Amino acid sequence: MLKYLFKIQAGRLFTGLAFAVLTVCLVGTLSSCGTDEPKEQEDEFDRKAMLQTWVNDYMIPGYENWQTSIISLKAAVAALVSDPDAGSLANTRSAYVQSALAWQKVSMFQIEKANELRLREFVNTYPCDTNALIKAIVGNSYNFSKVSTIVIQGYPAFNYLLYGLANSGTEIAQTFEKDGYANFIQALVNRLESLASETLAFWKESGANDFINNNGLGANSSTAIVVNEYVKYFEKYVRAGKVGIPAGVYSANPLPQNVEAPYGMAPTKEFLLASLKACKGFYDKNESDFTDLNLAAYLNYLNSIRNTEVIHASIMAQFNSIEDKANALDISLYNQVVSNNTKMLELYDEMQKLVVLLKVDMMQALNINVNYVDADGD
Amino acid sequence: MLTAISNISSSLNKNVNSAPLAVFRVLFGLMMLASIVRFWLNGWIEQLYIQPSFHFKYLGFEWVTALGPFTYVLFVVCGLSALMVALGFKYSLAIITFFLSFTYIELIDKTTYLNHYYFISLVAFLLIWLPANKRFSIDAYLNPEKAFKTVPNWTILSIKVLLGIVYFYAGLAKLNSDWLLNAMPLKIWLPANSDLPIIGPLLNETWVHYGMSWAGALYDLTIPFLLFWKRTRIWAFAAVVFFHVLTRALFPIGMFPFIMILSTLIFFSANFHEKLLGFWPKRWSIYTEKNLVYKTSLIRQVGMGLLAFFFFVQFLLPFRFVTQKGELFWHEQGFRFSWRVMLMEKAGYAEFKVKDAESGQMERVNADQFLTAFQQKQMATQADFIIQFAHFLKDEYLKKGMQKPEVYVDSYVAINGRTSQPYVRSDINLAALPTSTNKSEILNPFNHEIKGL
Repeated sequence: MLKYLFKIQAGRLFTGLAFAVLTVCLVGTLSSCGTDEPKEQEDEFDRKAMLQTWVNDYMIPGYENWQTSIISLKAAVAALVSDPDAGSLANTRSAYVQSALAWQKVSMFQIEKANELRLREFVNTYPCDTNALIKAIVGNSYNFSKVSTIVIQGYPAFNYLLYGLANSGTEIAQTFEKDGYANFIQALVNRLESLASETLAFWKESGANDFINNNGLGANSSTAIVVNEYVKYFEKYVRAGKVGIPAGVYSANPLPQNVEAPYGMAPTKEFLLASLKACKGFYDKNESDFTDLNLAAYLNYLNSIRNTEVIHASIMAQFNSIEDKANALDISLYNQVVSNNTKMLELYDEMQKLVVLLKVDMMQALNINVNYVDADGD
Repeated sequence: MLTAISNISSSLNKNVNSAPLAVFRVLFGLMMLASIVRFWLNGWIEQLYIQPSFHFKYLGFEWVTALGPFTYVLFVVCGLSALMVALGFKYSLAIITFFLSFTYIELIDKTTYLNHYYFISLVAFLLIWLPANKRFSIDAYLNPEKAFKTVPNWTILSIKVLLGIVYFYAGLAKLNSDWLLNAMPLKIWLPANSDLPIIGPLLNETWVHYGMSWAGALYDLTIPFLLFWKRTRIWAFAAVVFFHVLTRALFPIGMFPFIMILSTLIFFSANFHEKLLGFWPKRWSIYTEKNLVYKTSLIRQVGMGLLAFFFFVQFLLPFRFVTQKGELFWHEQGFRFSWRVMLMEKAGYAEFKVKDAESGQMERVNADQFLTAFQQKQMATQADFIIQFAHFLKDEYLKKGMQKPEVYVDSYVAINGRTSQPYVRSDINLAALPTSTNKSEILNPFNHEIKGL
């Protein structure tokens, strides 16, 4: 067919194509002459370097920090079961809080290995099913790799065992004299340890290279997947999970029992603040100097093509007003819901505004689709 | 006047070589088969039609539903009929089956609406009335008395006109201030491909965004005429190939570029199509001197009348937006079925609230329970989807025992890089509105103006 085309019309084809290219160039030059353009930035934004930064500055140190906290927790648990008293319980409680705080920094990265392991579900699904938990201990039958055990493991299980088993600390500590309880809490911490080391190993060994080289912007590119997960984390796990659901936003009545750690005045506000800080830090660690290659720097780069300054300013302002609202809460969100839920609802509304900014404005500016289905467009 | 009409009439009915029609039929059938197979292999039948528990319906087509696992059977029927069209085997049955099955699939859920699916439905409908199986077909091979070398000119012309409409109206739609004066949405879309080899770095350049916007509009408006005119045809086709290959590289538009490239071959001469057919064994290419004369049988008269009406509607339909007040990009009434292709970047977010009018209690809805991420994305920017979902929620909450559910929405939309704005008014009980409500009345004002068509 091509041969035929060329035989007949090769000459015309050439002049025609040349004319077409010329027209395109001419129109392009003419139309850009008249407008007052902002200064062009010569360098292309280096997405690969951004992915590298995410791995080296956020994921690896985040998971290392989390792993260290689990090792401390493991030591505290060992001391508790060998010598259960008020002192060893207090140490274990504080190790649990530290570890749950370290977790908040990496919870958003439900990608690659973490996604495969269903890390977030196994580590922090709440509320804990306490009846099933006690049944598992008494029957001495549990296999933490089974999906059905998601509701009896991770930090919510620690919260119940360390704060909710009895009224006084001494009574709770004494419970761990029983083999069943001692074995169970040790199995819990071992499970966390193996999940953490498996995830960390992925980023340190095999996974980082492929991740960094997948530097396009299509639906399956690393950037699109991470940004989608990031926005989803804020929307579903921070806004809805930590605030909206316990405040009763999605139900007829408030559900204080559904806060992240409902037993014994655990510092759920600190958990919330840590996750907010992680979200803000991932967006813009250095408060707008754009030296760190993150989402704010990416928006700042795109500002040379079109005005994204407004979006960036709104996002930062919204993060700040959310933090202000969150800081004003009771240390226990359980108490907050029970005593004055209005503050929770106000916080939810502020968080909702940020969801719109991240999911609509930021994603559009970055040209990343909110789309977990890779369908055609037109 | 009378002579003009009789000239046109005789030009339309003039007998011409039927090779272009035969080639078009074969290519169309094969491309449709490939599209169906690709759709299946991508897992989209499952994701788009079987998994969702709720589908967004076109007004008047609420009765079209997904068939559960039998949806696969529907695709088999559709694919097989496409193959039969390509082979020219029991053509009438095949093309009618293809048109009905394909259109049925598209009507299941308007979430998946794409202009090029609409285009395929139209071509299939047109082909029902055209004698595309008179050569190079199993039908002609089995029944030599039904094989013809020539067909009336209008049969081939009608396909060219339909293709021309698609391009020309797509070009008209680009004549707006966002596209021409702000290079939107290409300014958003193009930099995303800056990691492509060779052309990548160019895609960050402002002059490229403007150049491609203007060139794209110019291309769409002129290409039908350049294809029609013999002297420019060959380089117009080169432009078609260049343009569609480029869009394939830059945007996720699936099979569409290939469909358009191969379809525009119909503009080439009968000679060219004879050569194409000549590549195949001679006996397949039934060659007779007989002409297909469209005698005035009742069915044919009805068919021609129907096609005249079809084109009349096609010419007018894209202009129906002029009857609507307000910004077309905002309310989207008259946006579909109008060849507004790749025209805007619209993103949104919607959260529903259900309030019991009896108790005054209110709760927000986690839409994940009912809709896929794709459906939620499409819904957030289109008011007609939002009303439909509100109706669905009302029924759900009635089932759950709520006495008088009222449904409200908090929604935000951003168009072509503008900052997001509140979309549907949050103080209206959407469940009380009929689905045919004029959407402009329930939207917050769009605080910008997009001038043009």
